[in-house]
Amino acid sequence: MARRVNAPIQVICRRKQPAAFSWEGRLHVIAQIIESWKERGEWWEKAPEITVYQVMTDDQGLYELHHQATGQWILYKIYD
Amino acid sequence: MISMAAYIRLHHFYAYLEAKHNPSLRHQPFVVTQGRRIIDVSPEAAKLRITTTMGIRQARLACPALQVIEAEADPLPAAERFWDICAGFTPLVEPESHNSAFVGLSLQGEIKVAGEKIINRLAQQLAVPFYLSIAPNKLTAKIAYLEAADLSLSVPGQKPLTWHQGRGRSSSPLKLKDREKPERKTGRCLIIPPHSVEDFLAPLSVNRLWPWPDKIHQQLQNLGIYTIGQLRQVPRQKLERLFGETGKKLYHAARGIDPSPVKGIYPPKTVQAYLQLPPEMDGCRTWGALTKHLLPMVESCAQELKRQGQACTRIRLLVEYKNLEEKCWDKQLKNELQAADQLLAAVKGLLTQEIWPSPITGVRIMLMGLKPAALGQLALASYLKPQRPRELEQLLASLQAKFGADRIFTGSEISIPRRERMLQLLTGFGDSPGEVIIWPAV
Repeated sequence: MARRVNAPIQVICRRKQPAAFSWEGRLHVIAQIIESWKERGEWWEKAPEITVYQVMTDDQGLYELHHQATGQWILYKIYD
Repeated sequence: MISMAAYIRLHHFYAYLEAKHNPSLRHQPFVVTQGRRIIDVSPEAAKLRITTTMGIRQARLACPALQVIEAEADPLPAAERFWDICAGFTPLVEPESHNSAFVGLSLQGEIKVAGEKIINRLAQQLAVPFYLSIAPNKLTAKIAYLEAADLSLSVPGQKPLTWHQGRGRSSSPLKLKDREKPERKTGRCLIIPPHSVEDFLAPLSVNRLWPWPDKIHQQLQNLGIYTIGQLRQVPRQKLERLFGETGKKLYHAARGIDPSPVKGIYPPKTVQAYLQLPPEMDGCRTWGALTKHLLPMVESCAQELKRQGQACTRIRLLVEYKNLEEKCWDKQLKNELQAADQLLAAVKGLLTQEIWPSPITGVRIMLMGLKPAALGQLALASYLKPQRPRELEQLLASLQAKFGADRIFTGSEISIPRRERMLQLLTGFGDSPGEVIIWPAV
C-alpha cells in the first residue's frame, strides 16, 4: 500500500544518485535503489522531465522520490 | 518500520484459465494436466477431495465424471496481471510461479491493519480465490501459507487473522471458529507477527521446511527429528557435521531466521517510452502521421538500450485509441533489436497489422527481455574501385549515424581469406585491397 506525501525534501547525492534524505527531522540512508526511470508529462505544454527513484532505506522503508529538472527533490510516496 | 514478507498464492489458477479458454468447463469437476501429472483442479473437483498429488486414475476413481484437460491456455498474461496487482502496492515483487509471489512490505502501523488493507485490495482485483500470509521473512511466510492451506481456513477475506503466541494448533481460533463458515471466493490471510515466529514454527513438521527437498526431511526424520521445535534443540555443530552448509541454514530456519530478502525482480527491467499526442491534435489516423511523433521516442529508446549495452527480445505496445479502450500488442522477436530503425520496423509491424478502430492518441513502447547486446562483428568488405570513394563515404556516414562513430571503423589493409581472394579473382575486383568496415568495435 502506498501513501502519497508529495513534499519537498533535502537529498544528499553521491555520484549523481540519491544516497540519503531527510524527512520529518530524520535522516534516511538509502540502502538500495530498486528502480529509477524518467517521466515526462504534458510535453506539448513544456512540462519538465522528472526522474523517479524507488528506494529502500537502511531501516527497510520503501519510498518513491522525484527529482525535478529544477533540481528540487520531492518525497512523492511512502509504501506502507 | 517493520519489514515483512507476504506470500500470495492464487488457487485454482490453471483451472480458471482453462475454464476461461473453454467456457463449457465452468462449474464442472475437472483437472488440468501437464503430461500425465495433475497440475491443478477445479473448485468443484477440489470439493470432491481431488488434489494435485493424486494420479489421474485415482482422481477418476474419486469422481467418474471427472474431465481431464491438458493445459492449453498461456498462463503468462494472467500471471503478469496478478504480479502487476502486487506491484501496485510495493516495488518488491518476487514471482515464485505463475500463481504465487513473494512481496516485500514495509509496515509503519499495525500489521493487522496493513493485512486488512492488502486483502481488501486483492479481493477487489483478483477473480480467483487466494491465500495471503504475512510473516517477518519469506521462509515463515510460505510455511504459514502451507499450514493455512492445509488447515483449510475458510476465513472471510476482510478478516486477517493473527497467530497468537502460546496457542497450539488445535486451540487456534482460526481453525475452529471459521471452519464452519461457507467457502467464499475471496482471500484468506494468516499473519505471523515477529514475536510469534518461533512459537508458530515449533509444533510444525520438518516437512514444512520448503526450501529443502524431501531427502533432507527424510534424513531429519531418520535422526528422530520430526518437528521444527525438535530441530531447534539440535546443536549447530551437530547439524553442520551432519549436513554441512545446509546444516547451518537449517539451524537458522528452525529459529525462523531467513536472511534472503524479497527481491524486486518484477516488473523485469525494461526500456520504456510513452508518447501522448496533444489533445488538440485529435489523434493520428495514419502510420505516416504517427511516425514523425514516434521516431524521437524510438530513437530515445534505442539510445537508452545502447547506453545500457542491451538489446531487446520482446516488444510490447500499449496503444490508446480515441474514445476506446487501450489495446496491448505483444511480440516475441526472432532477433535481438537495438537500433532505432529496427525498433521502428517492429513497431510498424505491430501497429499496421489491423485497421485502427479510431485515431491513436497515445503509445507506450516497452522493450522487454533485455539481454546484453551480442558482440557481433560485421565486416563489410567493399571492393569498390578507388575512383568511386564518394559512395563509400556516404555508406560509411550512414552507418556511423546509425550505430555511432565509435563503432564503425575503416581499414585500408586487411588479410583477405583464401575463399574471398578466390571470389575477388572470379569477380574481377582484385586490383585493390578495398575498404573494410567493421562493426562493432571488438
